[in-house]
Amino acid sequence: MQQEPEFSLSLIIRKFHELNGELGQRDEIITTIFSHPSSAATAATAGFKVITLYPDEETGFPNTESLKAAVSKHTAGLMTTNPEDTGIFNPEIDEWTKMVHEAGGLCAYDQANANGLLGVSRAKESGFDMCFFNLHKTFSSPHGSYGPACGAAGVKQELAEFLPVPVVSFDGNMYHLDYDRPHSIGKVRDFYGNAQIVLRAYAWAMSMGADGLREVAEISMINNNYLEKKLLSIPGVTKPYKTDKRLDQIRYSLEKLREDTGVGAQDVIRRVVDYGVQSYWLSHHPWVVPEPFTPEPCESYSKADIDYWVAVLAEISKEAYSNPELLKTAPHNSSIARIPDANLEDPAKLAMTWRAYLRKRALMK
Amino acid sequence: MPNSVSEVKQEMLKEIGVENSEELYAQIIPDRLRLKHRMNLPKPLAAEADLRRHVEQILSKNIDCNKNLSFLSLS
Repeated sequence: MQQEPEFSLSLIIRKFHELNGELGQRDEIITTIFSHPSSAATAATAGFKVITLYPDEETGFPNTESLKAAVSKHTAGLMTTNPEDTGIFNPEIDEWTKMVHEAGGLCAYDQANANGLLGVSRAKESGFDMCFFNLHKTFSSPHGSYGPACGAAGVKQELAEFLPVPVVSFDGNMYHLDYDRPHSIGKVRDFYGNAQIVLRAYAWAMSMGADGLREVAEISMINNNYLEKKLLSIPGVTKPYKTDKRLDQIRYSLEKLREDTGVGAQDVIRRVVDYGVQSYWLSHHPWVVPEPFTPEPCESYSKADIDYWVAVLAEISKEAYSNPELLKTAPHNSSIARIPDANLEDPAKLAMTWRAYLRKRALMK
Repeated sequence: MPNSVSEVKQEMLKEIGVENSEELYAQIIPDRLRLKHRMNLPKPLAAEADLRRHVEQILSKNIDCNKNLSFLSLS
């Protein structure tokens, strides 16, 4: 998953300050609200306080002034996504990393949204010390919990001693797994992770080459901007924030549709499966954008696929305005209708297995 | 990639209202943050047979229990 490399980066930040004797003082990680929540979550798990910055309300750009106010001698590092989940690329990101470096922190780049960036812009030019890619989504494997996920992390040479064990070493003749690394953050994952996804990503990259990967970036951006043109003509769909052009994805809102018809994002996503379309990504929590949805066409969908997808949403919008009840009770052609998710938010009922649930209930009696 | 066909790409760009993808990038990413050179990667293996041979050659370096005596239990 994306959490392992991200957790590794959090632990590297921790180890770096620990060895410098500054961990006691540097206990804050700065992130942004439209970065992936795994930045905040893994930083918190690694023992840091998390400072979350909000974007400029008008443009949606991450707010450089608020970063200026947040950095201090307590800053351990910055963990951020660029472009963020709004598809907005922070054009001042090099100033951000400079500011954090001047305060004594490290900068970690979540490149899970790298589809539009391959061969176009890198972590290095933006001034990051480390980064990770999602091999699912960006490097050809299905994403969004539809295929095994895998993340690949990379760091600058100076931080290599902190990488998790084992690392692969080569003695000129044979490859080895090297566990003997005194400053390593240790093992972060059982076994070797989803090795088949690493293999798949490698084979894919080898078949694309430099020009092919560059074209992946262009097409995922073109697909996204084409989808935007079509989607915004559908009644009830709006694009929050004024920043016009976005990279590989956009977080849209169905707030207008909900105000007009009572039908929200959760109802629409349930209806699409009736048209033979897989349910798509809404948004991480908290929902900063009301009634959000975040389609990511990547490079893999044809124009015909995108046109069909848009036609489905246009039809559902019509249904919402003429017969909202149809959407409130959707899906109608699926074996599973509605899973009550209130249980998932109740710690008293939440359990990973049925047996654990029974044990928990017994303990609570 | 389905939309790499030049006619399709042009049609989509026209819908977006730009001449080419560079026009989009110029509006999103400042020049100083752009990668100025081609990525340094090996020549692509376009034919699937070549790719398969290449990957299998790498995998064949693995030392596994089919080739070596192993006392690890398999059950």
